[in-house]
Amino acid sequence: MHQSSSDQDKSKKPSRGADIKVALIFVLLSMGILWEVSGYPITQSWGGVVNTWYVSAALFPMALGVLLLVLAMILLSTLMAEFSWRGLGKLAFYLPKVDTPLSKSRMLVITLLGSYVYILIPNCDFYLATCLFQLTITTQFYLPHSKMSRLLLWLFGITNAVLVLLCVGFEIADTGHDPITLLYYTDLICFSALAAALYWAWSIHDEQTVSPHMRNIVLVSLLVPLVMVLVFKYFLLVPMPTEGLIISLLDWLYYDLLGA
Amino acid sequence: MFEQFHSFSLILWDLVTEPSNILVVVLASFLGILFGAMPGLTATLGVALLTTLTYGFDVNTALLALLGLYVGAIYGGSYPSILINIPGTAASAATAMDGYPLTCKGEGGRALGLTTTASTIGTLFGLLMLVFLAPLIASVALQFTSYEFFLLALFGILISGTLTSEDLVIKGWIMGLLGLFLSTIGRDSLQFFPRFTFGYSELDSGLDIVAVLIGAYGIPQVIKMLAEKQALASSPPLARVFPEFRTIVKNSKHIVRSSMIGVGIGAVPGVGEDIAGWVSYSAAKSASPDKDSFGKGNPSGLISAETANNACIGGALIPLLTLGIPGSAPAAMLLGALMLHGVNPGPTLTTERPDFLLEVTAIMVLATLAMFCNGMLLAKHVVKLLKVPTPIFMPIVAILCVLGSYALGLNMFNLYLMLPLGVMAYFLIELKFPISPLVIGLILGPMADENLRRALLVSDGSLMPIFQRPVALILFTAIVLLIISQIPHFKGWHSKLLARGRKLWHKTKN
Repeated sequence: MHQSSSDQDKSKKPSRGADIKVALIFVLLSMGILWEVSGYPITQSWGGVVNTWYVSAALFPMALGVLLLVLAMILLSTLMAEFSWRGLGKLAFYLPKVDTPLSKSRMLVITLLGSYVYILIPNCDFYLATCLFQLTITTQFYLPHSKMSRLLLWLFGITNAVLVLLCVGFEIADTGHDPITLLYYTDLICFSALAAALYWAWSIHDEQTVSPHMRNIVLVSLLVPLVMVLVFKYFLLVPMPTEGLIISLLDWLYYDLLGA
Repeated sequence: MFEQFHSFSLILWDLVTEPSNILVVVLASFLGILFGAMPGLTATLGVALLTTLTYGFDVNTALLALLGLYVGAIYGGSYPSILINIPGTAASAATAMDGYPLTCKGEGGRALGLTTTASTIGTLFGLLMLVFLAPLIASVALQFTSYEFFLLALFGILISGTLTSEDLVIKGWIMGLLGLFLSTIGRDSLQFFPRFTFGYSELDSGLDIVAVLIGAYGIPQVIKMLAEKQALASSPPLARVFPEFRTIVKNSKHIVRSSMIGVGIGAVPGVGEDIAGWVSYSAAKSASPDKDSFGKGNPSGLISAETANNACIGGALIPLLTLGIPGSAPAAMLLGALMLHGVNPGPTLTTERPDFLLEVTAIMVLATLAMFCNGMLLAKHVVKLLKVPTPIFMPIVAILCVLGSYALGLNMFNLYLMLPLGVMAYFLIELKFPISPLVIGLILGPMADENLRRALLVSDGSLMPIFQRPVALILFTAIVLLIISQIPHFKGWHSKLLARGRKLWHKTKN
């Protein structure tokens, strides 16, 4: 279906607005690069050797900074031709838009991923962290707008908050704690959250519409991380990022009980 | 020639007579088909993840696995293209044009059979070109000095940015420069001076390529597939998959042309299988007397697209092995994998490891045969995977990305790096900034940096040798012409000149 030129302009403008923001970021980045590189030795001595400009470590980044600045300015000027200057003066132009369903979904995925990578994995047993993450994120998008997805999201958020407070508290207290003790507490918190989530999942087993899906989600969330841990740890001999209670139990089963 | 064929036969025999090799290549090919078939997974991500898993293997076994997956993934993308009109990988986008209409006519099995055969022929043709052209290019490349390598790296990044950019070309160039900038992070190789490390010792050795690639290719797909709630349509029941040799023979002209297009495009740095597929499809349509049937289930369209995107694999390996410049994104990941195993692709490869090219060829032959067998026997079962709901499947991909980026160096910092790079890549892709030039820039950055400084050191800071050495001058001219050709003023002048030329031509004809 053919769009009229005014329709095409309207559909182009929002993405051109975003393009302009990105171009401005690149202008700032290139200026940052040049500012940083200006502090590098160009003709001064480094490592006991007198430098010349053409073998200086600053040459290549400086050239890149200049080229990036030039290209970013060209991009900016090209985009300005298609976009109204008036919009640039408003603060609202620079603020991210989070009112559309797509933006909200994006932010949700990024937040969940970020919590998993920066809070759960470094502080909890990898298996527990992965189960909790998989359970939460799958429910959000497989059973959206359901009571279960809201409950799990709250649970995930509270668990992360408690973990952060616990870790910060230990740091502030500086009790000379054994890191194993901290890991024990964080594993207990994560395990409790997972247990609560599984209990809630079981409690809706009477609901015909939701229960079969929830059952699949729970099975996948428990089994897939287990398979991954077993394959990576015992077949490929890759240690997990954080090995806590569950992985210690698996180690005991595999090495001591089965005598592998 | 006879000696080379004899060596090749011996290497192939050694590989085939080891049952573990057969198992590895069949499994890897199957895994590749799965990776290709699932929308959201890419051949590059598959090779990146498998690189971490095969780190402990010996070179040949690792190559069997990686090349098996690469070949399988490029082919596997055709499954959802044909069956549910959703390309499994970008390389199979053109396949959907005629593949899906064939499924709608109830000929899904036939379409998959044609795809499998065309992909096999395309890959083998690409291999033939690799075997014939690679030694020639390597012998020329041995004459290259630092200036040529610097200009080659620059040209590779520019052409990748030009051809992969869907919107403004300048976006592709900016991404290339961004990739070059990311490659400068860490201690430089000539003076060991810390650049952009800001006091973090973890950044001293630079950014881990595997973590960056997993972030750039894996995380955007996870965010996109989940946030956009892309639901897969259910595929219709599939009849038996069988090769149709008569149709293949009837389309032999299309196959030869598509193979050559695939190899040619594959050899261009950073430009991948997706462009090869489209260019070949367009060429087949233009050359066909029955243009109107294209897009309605014409087997020629299907065969052309699939032959080209698989021939691209061999083409992408040509600059990779001879110059150390990857011809496509999965080839870029292969470069990282080869370097991890102590193999340094480039002009000196033929002297350091004279039989390496033949080993790669033998491995690719095995991988192609494994792909053919897996495709013919297992297509119906692979298709069942398409029924797995995206919200269940994509978090598993996210977890694999986490493990993949951690597993290689057992370094949590790679994990912390992967996510923000992935999020940045997602937003840039949404704004039509291509990722391939960034990856090419990241990989070719050290080559460009070292060779530029080395060249200037030899010439005492003079750039005159660029104009005195013929290859350097050709590359420099190509770069200048490429940049000028994108300037709007020149574009307008050029099209006016072409139009005038056409008018004159018609006048003289009449």
